Amino acid sequence: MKKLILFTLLILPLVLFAKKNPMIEFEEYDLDNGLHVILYHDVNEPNVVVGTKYHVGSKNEEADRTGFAHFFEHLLFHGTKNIPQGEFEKTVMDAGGYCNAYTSYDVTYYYQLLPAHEYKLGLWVESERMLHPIITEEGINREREIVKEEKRMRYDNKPLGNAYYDMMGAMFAYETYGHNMIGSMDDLDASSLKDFDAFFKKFYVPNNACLVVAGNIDIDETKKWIDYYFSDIPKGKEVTRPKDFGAPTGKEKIIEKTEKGLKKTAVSLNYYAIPETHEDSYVMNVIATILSGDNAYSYFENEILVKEDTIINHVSATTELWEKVGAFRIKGRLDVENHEQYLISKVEEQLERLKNKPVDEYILEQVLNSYEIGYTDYYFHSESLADEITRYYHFWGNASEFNNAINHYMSIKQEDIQRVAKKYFNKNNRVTIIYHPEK
Amino acid sequence: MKKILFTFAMLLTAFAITAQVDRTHAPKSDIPKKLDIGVLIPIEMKNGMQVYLAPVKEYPKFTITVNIEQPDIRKDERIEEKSILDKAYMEKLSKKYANGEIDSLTRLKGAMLSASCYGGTIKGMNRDIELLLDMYSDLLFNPVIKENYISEKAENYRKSQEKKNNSSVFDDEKFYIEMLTDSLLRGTTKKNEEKKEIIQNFEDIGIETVEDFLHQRVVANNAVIVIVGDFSPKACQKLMNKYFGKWQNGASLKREREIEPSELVLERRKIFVIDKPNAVQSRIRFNWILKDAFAFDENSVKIEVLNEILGESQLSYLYSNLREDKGLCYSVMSSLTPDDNGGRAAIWTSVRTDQTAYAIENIILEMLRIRNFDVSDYDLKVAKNSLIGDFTRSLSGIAPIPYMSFAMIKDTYNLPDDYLQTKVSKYHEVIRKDIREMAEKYIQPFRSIIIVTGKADELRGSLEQFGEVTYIDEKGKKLKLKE
Repeated sequence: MKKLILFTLLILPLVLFAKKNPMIEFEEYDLDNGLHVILYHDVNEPNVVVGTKYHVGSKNEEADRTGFAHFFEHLLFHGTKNIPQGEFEKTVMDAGGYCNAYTSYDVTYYYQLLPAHEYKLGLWVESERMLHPIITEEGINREREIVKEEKRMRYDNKPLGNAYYDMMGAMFAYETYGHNMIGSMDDLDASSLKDFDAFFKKFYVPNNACLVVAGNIDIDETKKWIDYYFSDIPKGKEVTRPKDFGAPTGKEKIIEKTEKGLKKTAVSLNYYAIPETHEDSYVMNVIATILSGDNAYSYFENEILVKEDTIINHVSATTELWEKVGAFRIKGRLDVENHEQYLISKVEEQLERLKNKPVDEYILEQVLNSYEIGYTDYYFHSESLADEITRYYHFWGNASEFNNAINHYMSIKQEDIQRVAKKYFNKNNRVTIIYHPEK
Repeated sequence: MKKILFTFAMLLTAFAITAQVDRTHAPKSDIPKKLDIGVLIPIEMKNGMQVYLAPVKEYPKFTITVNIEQPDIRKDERIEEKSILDKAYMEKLSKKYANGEIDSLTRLKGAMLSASCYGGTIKGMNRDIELLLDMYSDLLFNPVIKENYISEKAENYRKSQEKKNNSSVFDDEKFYIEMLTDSLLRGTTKKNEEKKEIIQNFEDIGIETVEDFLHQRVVANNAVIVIVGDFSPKACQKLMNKYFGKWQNGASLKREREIEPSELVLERRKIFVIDKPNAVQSRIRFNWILKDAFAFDENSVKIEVLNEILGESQLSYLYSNLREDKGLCYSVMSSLTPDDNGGRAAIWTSVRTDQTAYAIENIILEMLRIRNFDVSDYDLKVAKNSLIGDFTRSLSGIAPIPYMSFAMIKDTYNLPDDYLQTKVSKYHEVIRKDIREMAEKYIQPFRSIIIVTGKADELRGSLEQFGEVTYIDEKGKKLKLKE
């Protein structure tokens, strides 16, 4: 009887709620100046998000001007021809809004969260930023110090704070993905107003941007106001994009470093992988979860981080996938010195297991369901959705591709895991970095 | 001639179109519709359980939070049984699902299910709600309680007591700067004293007593459930009746607030420098206590606005001074938090070592400014509007946290049903005089503890101007600095 109840509880919902992946129906179009516009009416959202994602990040910087894209992001909050210096954020916050931005290797995204009746303000602010921001020497000098403090706080003030960029630097070309997004102190010091003018003219043009308005909006009215504020912004020259990202050498690269303040030896095994837009990227993400996701099934948790092993303190896997390159990163820490090779061999055992033994179907189903659950929220949260679909537009060249993400995950099979593991997890496709505590 | 006319006409048209775009000032906002801050629908239940629904249209997922009132741990005479029952809940074995199915099926569904004597949380896809609720309710009402849970708990308690007896608060392993700060600010409080007296005795505890505890304490009339998802009130009620309808009542518990104002025993500012020889920045943290600022009291909204102006937002005094004007830091924040102990406050930032004293000086100046001068009408307006925006945004969407927590604390804090709906008007009511009064009362530039984590050798001598400085290492031992 118990079995029957359990069977009913498991099967009945499958009939009643057959799997139907969420789909976002949004409108998109281009203005004559090349600005791509995405509009989405969200029935649950009483507010709006207005965002502009520029297809420029730190991979577009000149080799002697690293940190520019991020620095520029700071400067574009200073003011515009019609928004006085220091009033940018006040203007948004006085309307009950919030504004912020971020810069990555690939994009720079500015966004505002506003009450629905203030969406026009959001459009005005974004058009001001795109058309005529005011950048001054004084502003650059002040902001430079703030960015340097950000660098110290985020990266320099803790052991291994720069480890991510050690990895990127060791794997990819310095000019594109191989430098720290926040830049070097020397490059920050050398930046001038002239450099910023040139950067703005080159990248902050409508034909290099995607404007998104999502939430409680009237699509037709919003279109009119977008046309009003953006259609006369002049189109820029076509943006030339970098092509050299660096490539694997076909031989393992091993780097040993000594870190001040580090208490335990750390190891980072970094495999060359694929860009985010590659079809294997979904499988890569799933592999990272199989290796170091939920404790109940995680290969690392159950095979390496066992109680009996007093040598290894920590090991975890992540994917680091960007627009044009990608890495599969495994980080480990040792409790006992001089056992790096032991840790590496334990990790390699698990990678071999992935290649040679199909992952348990039950584990795979758990992992895929966790992706479905995790992704579902993107479709119901305007702020995250706006960020996601603009990224899909710039990376995939097609915002609608976002709607296929859950399907991609749910169609992953055991053999995909093995195929991808075999393809990428080879010693000669890896950069190994070992960090020793400074004695 | 035609060409000239044509060119002129074209120029005029171009000018007319351009002239239409008025960029010189912000556009007028639309007339705001009724302030949409979502809804929390009460669902009536016969067994006294309180259920609230926060609907989210077309959302294929749900979140259910269950809160069961329990007595304050310091006054609970049955903490042994509670800890054993919590262990049973953690193991997730129940009468119907006795073989680990709860854990494995929850993971299989990518869902989340946790239970404790205080309630729990269930999250998942709507298609799995019946299974998840069935498992949760069976676990809540019929957990498998094993004899070894009792012996394990007793053993753990014994070991923890042994460990406690062998260590002092400030020995090498146990140094926490927060504890030192708290004791310097407040002295020994009644609550701290009481904390030491929680003694457990497992001698008379058996499975029957734990089961009795379950029936007495895990009861419907002390439970509040909040459901977030795409449900009608009717569908919600049906689900609740199916899985919780037979839940029995017990002795009613209403959490009494234990309000204990703190005395500020610190007479003058003290500075502690925690040495971090490899630091490239100093982390600065001011701590002080508010003494008599209690959560949800008549001053709490005023204090929130004060904090927004002092250091919470991108427009605050501290942010404008330290970051925007002087470029000393990337971020600087303040918090003024009313609570049942009378409230606490902090300001924190990170600056490079050679600017530490200058940053501290400017923080103190901003604390003094907000105490000694009225804020401007404009600053007050922006702060209030910004807070109203933050508040309304927090109430919408798939995770309306304030609604969920409001349902849980409403009775404890004796909040009116329309508390969330009327909060916006409370922000509007705050005037400049209120901010000045709150600042004079609650901003303590002279009676605060400043913790600086950074290079002690380089800081030595620069901070003494602000008060007595003690240099310690990360384990709390006093440092001997180089001459």
